Amino acid sequence: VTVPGDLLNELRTLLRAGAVSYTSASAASDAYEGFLFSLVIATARDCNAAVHYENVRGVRVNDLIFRTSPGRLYSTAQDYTHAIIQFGPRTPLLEAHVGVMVQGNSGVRHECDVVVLDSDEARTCRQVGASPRSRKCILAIECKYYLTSLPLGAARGFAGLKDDLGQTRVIFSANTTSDRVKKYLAHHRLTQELQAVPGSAEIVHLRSHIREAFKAHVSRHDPSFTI
Amino acid sequence: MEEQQLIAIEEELRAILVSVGLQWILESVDDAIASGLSIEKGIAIRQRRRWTRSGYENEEVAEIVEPGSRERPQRIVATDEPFNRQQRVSFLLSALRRAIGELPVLQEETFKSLHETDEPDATVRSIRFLPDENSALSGPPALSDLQEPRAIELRAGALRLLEVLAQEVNR
Repeated sequence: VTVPGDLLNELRTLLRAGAVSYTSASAASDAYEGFLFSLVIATARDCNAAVHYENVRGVRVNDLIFRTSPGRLYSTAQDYTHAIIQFGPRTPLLEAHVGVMVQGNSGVRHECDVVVLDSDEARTCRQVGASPRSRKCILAIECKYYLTSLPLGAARGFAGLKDDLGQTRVIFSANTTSDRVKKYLAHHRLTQELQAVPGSAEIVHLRSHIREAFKAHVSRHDPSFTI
Repeated sequence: MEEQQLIAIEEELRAILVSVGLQWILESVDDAIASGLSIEKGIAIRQRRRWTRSGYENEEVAEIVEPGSRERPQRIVATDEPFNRQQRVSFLLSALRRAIGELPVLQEETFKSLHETDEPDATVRSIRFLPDENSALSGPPALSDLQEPRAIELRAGALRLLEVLAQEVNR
């Protein structure tokens, strides 16, 4: 049987030399979560917010550290970073986190890949060692990174999450797509942006959803602030 | 490409991924293959007369409406079909392409987006992913490693090869 053996041998050599720098599916997911966090920050800035970064001890930082798996917002195992987002003096401060647990309306904790929440709530959680309540979160983004098509299970899990997070605006974002997932999420009227990767139109739509979350928050406290 | 050639390529690709420690890519592909290819079929319900002991009776029979047929389906049903060999190989190649091409771009864009700001105090210098307590998961590589000329060269070479292979497979 003739196969493009030379091509495959060459591919083996390049892969062995390190053409793929990722060692697990979770590392790939981390990269996607980081990317969506950066979209939240970029959108906040576009909406005239001032943004800076702090670690769990409240120290301003420029070298960011994120979690490799969902963890506790108050964890001091590493100097994990969150962003402080300020929309003018009359609007309560917000914080953006990557991969933290949030307490849903049922009292059960859920993993939130990227979450934006009230800064006072986050501070209290750090002081007493608790997970933030979902009603204090203004935005949660479920980030799904897959090398192949999106499994339906990812969407089912998201529907359950949305249910328990109540009024929090939640977005399902994935780098890839699947007709099944698209249909399922549309049926349940859940916000979705599939194939959301750099340069795609979906990124523009995603940022528009993020902006809406900021707008709703700011309008409640300072309607004169321009977003 | 003939079935035998596709089988040989799939086997070889799988062996390569295992030998270079990229089983996670293989597992991801196998999960997707196991769930099958989601398809929708149009069906038409026809009335058919059938002879029984008590005489003729009408019964409903569902038939597939072939794609391209002028008949309009009465119902759309969802089902799964197994991937054929060509689709399986294409899946493997595309998964590799994402791991090599898409992921580093995500990290570059993340850094670019966080680094570029008018607020000098808020400029991001580096981004790292570290395991929390009770976790041993390693994160993505450092961006500086991805931006090494050698790493860029390796990725470019691998992406070129994958493109040629994909063309061969789809011939």
